[in-house]
This record gives sequence, C-alpha cells and structure tokens, in this order.
Amino acid sequence: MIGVALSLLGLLIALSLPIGAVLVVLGLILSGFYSTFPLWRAIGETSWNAATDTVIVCVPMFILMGELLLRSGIADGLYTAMVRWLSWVPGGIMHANVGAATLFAATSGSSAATAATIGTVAMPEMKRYGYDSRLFLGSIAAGGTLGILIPPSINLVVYGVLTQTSIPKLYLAGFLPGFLLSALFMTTIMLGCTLFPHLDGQRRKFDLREAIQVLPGIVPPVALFLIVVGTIYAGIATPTEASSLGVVAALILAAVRGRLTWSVLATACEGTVRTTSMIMLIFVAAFFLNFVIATTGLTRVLNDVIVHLGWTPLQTMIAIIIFYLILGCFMETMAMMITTIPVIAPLVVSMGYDSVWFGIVIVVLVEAAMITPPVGVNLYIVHGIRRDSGSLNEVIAGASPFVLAMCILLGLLIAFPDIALFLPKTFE
Amino acid sequence: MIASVTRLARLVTVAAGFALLATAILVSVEVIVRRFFLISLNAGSEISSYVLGIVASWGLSYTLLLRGHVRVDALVRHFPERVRLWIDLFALLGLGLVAVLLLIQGFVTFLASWSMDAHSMTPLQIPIWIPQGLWVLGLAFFVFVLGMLAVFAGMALLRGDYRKSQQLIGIQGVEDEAAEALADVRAITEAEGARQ
Repeated sequence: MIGVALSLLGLLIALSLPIGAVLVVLGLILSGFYSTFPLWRAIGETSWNAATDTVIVCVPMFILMGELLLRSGIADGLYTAMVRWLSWVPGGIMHANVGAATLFAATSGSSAATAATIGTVAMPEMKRYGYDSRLFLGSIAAGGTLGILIPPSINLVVYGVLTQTSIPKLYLAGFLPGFLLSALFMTTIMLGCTLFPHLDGQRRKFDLREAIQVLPGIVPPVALFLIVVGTIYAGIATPTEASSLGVVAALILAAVRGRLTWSVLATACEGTVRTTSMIMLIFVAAFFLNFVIATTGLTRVLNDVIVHLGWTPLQTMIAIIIFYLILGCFMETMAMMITTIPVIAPLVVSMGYDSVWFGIVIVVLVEAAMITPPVGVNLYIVHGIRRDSGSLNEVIAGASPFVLAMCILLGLLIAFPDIALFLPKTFE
Repeated sequence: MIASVTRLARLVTVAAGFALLATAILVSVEVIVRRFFLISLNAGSEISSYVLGIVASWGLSYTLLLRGHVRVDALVRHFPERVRLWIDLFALLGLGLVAVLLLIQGFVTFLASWSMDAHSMTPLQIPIWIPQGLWVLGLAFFVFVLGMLAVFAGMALLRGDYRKSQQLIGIQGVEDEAAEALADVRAITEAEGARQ
C-alpha cells in the first residue's frame, strides 16, 4: 500500500503535474482503493476550512510586507551600516552580506526576496574591492536563506499550521539556531579567507564617527522586527495580527520614504496574490490528502513500516535528513514542505522528537535546498544579479561551503536540541 | 481573447491584493483600539480568514496564466520539445480535473450553507454563504481559464505551433522564476535612479 502510494506520487510528480493536482489525485486514488466511503465528497468542506485557516493568514501578510519593504529602499542603509561595522574582519564585506541578510531576514519572511535585495546592493562592491567572485556570491545566496529561519518566517508558519504547533514557540525556537547559523556562515568566510587569502578583497577601515553615522540605517529593520515579533511576546497581538501590523508598518515606512506610488502598490499587491495563490493551491490540496490519509489509517501503516525497519530514532532522523537534502535538489521548497510534512512530522513526533525542534530542522533543510543545484532558487537569483559573464557553477561552488555549515548546524541541533528548545522552554 | 482574459485576471488579482491590504489595516486598527481603548471588536481575524480564502481562489487564474503553479521539471526537461509540450497539456488537464472537482464540491458546500442559512458562530454572525459564494466564483473563473488555455494550447499543438503552446502552458523553470524576482528588483533600482 505504501509502495503503491509512493510510486504513484513519484510518477505524477515526475510527469510534471502541478503539485497541487498531484496531491488531490493521489488522495482520490488512495480513497478509491482503501476507503469504502466516497471521501472525494469532503473536498469542498476540507478546502474551505483550509483556505480560511486563521493562522495561515500570516502567509499573504508576510509576503505583502516583504513586497512593500523591497520597494521601500531600507536595504541600502542597512547594508552600508553593515559594511562599516563588519568589513575589518578577514573576509571583509562578505560579512556584511551575511550580517545585512541576517537583519533583513528578521523583518522579511522570504529568502528569495532577501537574497535579491541584499544581492543587488552588494554586487557592485565585489569587483570594486577585488573579492573572489565564488565565495562572495555564495555568501549572498547563503545569507539570503536566513530569511526563513530567523522570525518572522513564512515557512515556520506553514509548518506550525500543518503540524498544529504553536507559532510563538516556533519563532522563539528559530532565534538561536538562526544567529548560530549566521555565526557559522561568518566563521566559514573567515576560515576560507585565512586559509586562502586570494579569496579576500581589499580591507577597508572606518573610524568610529563613520560607523556611528550609519546607525540610523538599522533602525527601520529593528523597529519592524519589534512590531512583527515583539508584539506577540508582549501579549499585544496574535501572530496573525502581528503580521497585519507588519504590513501597515511597511506601508508607513514606504510612504515616509516617499516610495509609495499607485504603481508600487499595485505591483506589490499583484505579486502578493500570485505567490499566495500558488501556495494556497498546494496547501488546500495537502489538507485533502491529509484527510484521506488520516481516514484510511495510512499514517499508522507508515508508522508500522518504519517501526519494522528496526532503526533507532537517530538513524531514522538521519535518513529523513538525507531524504530532504536529496528531495530539496529537485523540488520547489514550499511545495516540498507542504507535501511531505503532514506525513513525516507525526512519524518524527511518535519517535519521541519534539515537534518544535523538528520544525527548525525542517527549515534548515529547506535553506539547504535553496542553495543546492539544480533547483536552488537563490543560486539563480544571485547568478542573475551578476553583471559579468561568470557561470552559474561559480555560484554553486561558492555556496557549497555554506551547505556544509548548515549540515554542521543540523548535527549540533541533533546533539544539543536545546539550541532550538531553550528559548521556548524558558518562556513557557 | 487570451489577452483580454489575462487583463481581467490581472485586474482581479490586483483588487484582491488591495483587499488584503485593507484587511491588514482593519486588523491593525483593531489591535490598537484594543490596546489603548480596551475595546474588543474581534471581527478582524474572522474577516481576514474569509478574505484569504477569496483572494487565494481569485488569484489562481492569473497565477496559472503566468505559469506560476509549481511543477517539477527535473525529468521532463530532458524530453524532446514535442513530447514535453503534450505532457504540458496533460498536466494542464490534470489540474483542470482537480479544479472541476473542487468547483463542484465547493458549490455543494456553498449550497448547504445557503439552504441551512448557516451563520458563523462569532459576534459577527456572518452568513457563511456570502464568503463561500465569492470563493466558489473564484474557482469558477479558474475552471474557465483552465478550459480556455486547454483549447487554445491544444489547437496550437495540433497546428504544430509549438512556440505558442510553450508560451501558454509550458513549464516555468526555476531560472524564469529567479529572472522574475530580479526583474522586480531591477525595476525598483531603476525607479530609484530616476528619482535621484
């Protein structure tokens, strides 16, 4: 039964059927075979309930916030500030790439937008100060992925809804691993530039006055962060409400900076709805499949299969991580998450792992998927920003040490789950 | 015909985006009022969830027209163009099948709410058929666009006009997706340059 289901899933996906349709068709076939009830009749009800989930409302709000921020021009000031504060370290402004992405990530729920925004500002500096293009481009692609680990995060919200895990807890759990990963990225750059000095560029020195001068550049992201994340823990707003506050704050920010025109608004609205519809189609379909799987008892069967393998929880976890690393090479990341989590997360939890912890592991795996070829969206974004005629392989090569850093983080998360769970436990 | 339907779909999409924006403002006002005047309205979260459902269903068509629904091309990208384009049509029909089922069952759900005169169990007591009706209409528009694309792409394929068919229903690869995100950023940078 499992074999049939998995082969069908693989076949339909390989035949390039849209992922949303794959999930519904699979649900229909499974219910036809394994249920005596006409489960397809429930699809209207399950779809309406999934489409109007009050927590998933965060997703379009974060996308809209990101679209507005992208056009508000706050990235320039932020990047300049980071360059002046971080470029004395070996690896120079590559640290600014990661640092700016880290801070921008804290206000943005999307990795592609983070990479595109920071990349556009950073790119001219690469040639000007003679950096090796591979590591420089890799640092932008990798830094951009932090967008989904450091809250707010669209991916954490989707995970929370699919597994009924608390969003505030997931956000809290994302902090330390997010900053740790950022530190690991910087260590990677520093090590690389110390071992291979030709990777480094011309070092720049700034005095204290110059460093203080640019501090206002980090005010908007910090303020936004306080509004979108801080209000949740201050008990002022729910995560959904906080995302709405973020949209309004981004709107005000864009207006104050004089960037708000009708065409900017219309483009932001259009982009938001397109991404939302893309995600929601898969989400609604996954809900139906989930319903079929639960009704036909497939989860239990799957559980039995895993138990039968006789693997320890750790072995199973490593197998799951390898599975995601491979799958992430071929599948759009949001689609990958929504398709697999309803089945895999319950398994993981039944083995005794914490659901909040696994959410963080999944998001790190999704980050890795964004910078591994052939389908790593950040690679293409960074490649597209280049003005010289370098090849995509340079970006891929440059991003690979950062994939290693992510694997180190995964290892640390397995060895010390408290990296993720310390904050949620403390604020329980 | 495709051009005018695309224009209409874009118009609807932008309008849906403004509805989201309006909802965000409504919810924010509610949060502020609750915080500073201790008045609890509690309408925002309910309304925003309906808006999400409606926005998502009305946005499906434009996303489809821009080939934005996620498909995996790891295997089929290696097929010859002709085979690949027929697979594209097959994939479109598969999505169409699912959309029709969703439309029919969505309509059944709407009818049930209508005939039972179901209201939401909140202070607002919104008749559920209103948001559900708008949601189903979005699905109907999606099915219409799917049908239109299938007919035009099918005719193009039979004529041997592969370029046309690719334009209508071909896979949008990750390269195109990235190119689009970049076009956005570039447009912004240029607007910036023009301002200065």
